[in-house]
Amino acid sequence: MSFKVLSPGLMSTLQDFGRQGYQKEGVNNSGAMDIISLRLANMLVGNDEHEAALEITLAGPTLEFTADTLIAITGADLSPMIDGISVKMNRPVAVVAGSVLKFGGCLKGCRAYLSMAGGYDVPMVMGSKSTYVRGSVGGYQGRALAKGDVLGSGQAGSYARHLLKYLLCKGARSFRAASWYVSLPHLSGKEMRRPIGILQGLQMGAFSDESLHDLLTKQFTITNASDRMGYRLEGPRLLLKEQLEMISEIAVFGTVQVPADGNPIILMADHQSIAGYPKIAQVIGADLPRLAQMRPGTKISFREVPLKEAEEQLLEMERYLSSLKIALKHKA
Amino acid sequence: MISIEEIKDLMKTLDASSLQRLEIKNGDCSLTIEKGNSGKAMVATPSAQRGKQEFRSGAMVEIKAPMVGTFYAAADPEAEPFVEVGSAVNPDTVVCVLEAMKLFTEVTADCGGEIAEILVKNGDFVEYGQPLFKVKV
Repeated sequence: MSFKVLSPGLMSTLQDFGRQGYQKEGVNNSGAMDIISLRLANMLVGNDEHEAALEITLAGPTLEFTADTLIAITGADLSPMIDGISVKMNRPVAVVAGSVLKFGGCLKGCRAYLSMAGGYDVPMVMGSKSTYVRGSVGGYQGRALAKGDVLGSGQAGSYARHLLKYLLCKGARSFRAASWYVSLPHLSGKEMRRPIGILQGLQMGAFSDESLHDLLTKQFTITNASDRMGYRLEGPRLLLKEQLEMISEIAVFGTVQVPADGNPIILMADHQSIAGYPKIAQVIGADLPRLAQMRPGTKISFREVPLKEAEEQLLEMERYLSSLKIALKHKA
Repeated sequence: MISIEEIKDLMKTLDASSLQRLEIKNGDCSLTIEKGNSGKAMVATPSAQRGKQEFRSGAMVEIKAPMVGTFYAAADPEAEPFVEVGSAVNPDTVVCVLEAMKLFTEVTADCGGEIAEILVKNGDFVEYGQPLFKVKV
């Protein structure tokens, strides 16, 4: 299973669960922005859910398959097409060698994930295949995909080999998609409109009462200066009661820190290892995947949730994924 | 002895046929397979189970559930239904999805014509073989 890049798209990088455990050495975590879509993409092609997939941002690449390949596309709807025919998402798709996968307009979300049965055959760097473009680390030669790159797969499991054969024998000129699919509950229209859940940040108490009130009642816009490292927001300015001198300390995916200008930044997957601005809030883990699917220009609001509820939401998603895993086993 | 593969094969063949029951005796080994709504019916693939049928134009045909599951008329709660009464369908048209164990399976019309009646409600749990739509062919 493999493909060749005919055109790279805006920003297509390999991402998995990220480089975990190296932040204390100053190495950032990276990894998929929408980890739920990544996990589902892998599960659909029979991969370990920790495998790397291609994270495709807003404008997709054009890829020519150089062998019969089992893929799945999850996450944002970037209007995928193979040889001009629309490809349904969130399901296994058998692609015939020589077919060309293209993406069109971005209809929903911001980041699609393209998994390949057997995973992507790139070296592990510090326990991960994730690409950190700013540091030229990991992924495919430490960078986003470029024209002419050829990406191969590892050894596909029996589930994938069986499914590929089964779909292709049903007849396929360019590709054949399975007639069944999974849903991505975190990306439903209703979910995408819900306020983002937050916990108190380490320095929440240092902000003025008015700013705390604004944080929980007013809307913020995700600006164009937003990427895998952080989302810069614009809205009411969040100000401290009095100036605060801080020593830089740990920052994680979802930390909301506020520089002196009062415009908050939500740290995302490529966040730095430490941060020195006061942290007003922490986005709950369960809401990071859908936040990652919101594009620049989107208006968001925040809601403070108790820790217990934040954990419960995360557990609910895990229960959904484990029941899916059982169902997929029956499909094999 | 009859191998598992052979039994699976027989089940599929039986499902695709108009027979209800199959009994085989071979020496001291005997096997009975009967059609029903139990789990074994799930082995059948949607198209194998309904088979190819020829219809006179103007006749009413039922689209039956190829598996047990929850009936959904649309891909997601905010989407338009796949078909409504009066919609034209061809054999490849997806008419609904059935959800079982969090997996959504598309059901195709397998015949050409016009949807005359929808026999189940959104969110209904349907049994294997239960009629879902009436189609005027």
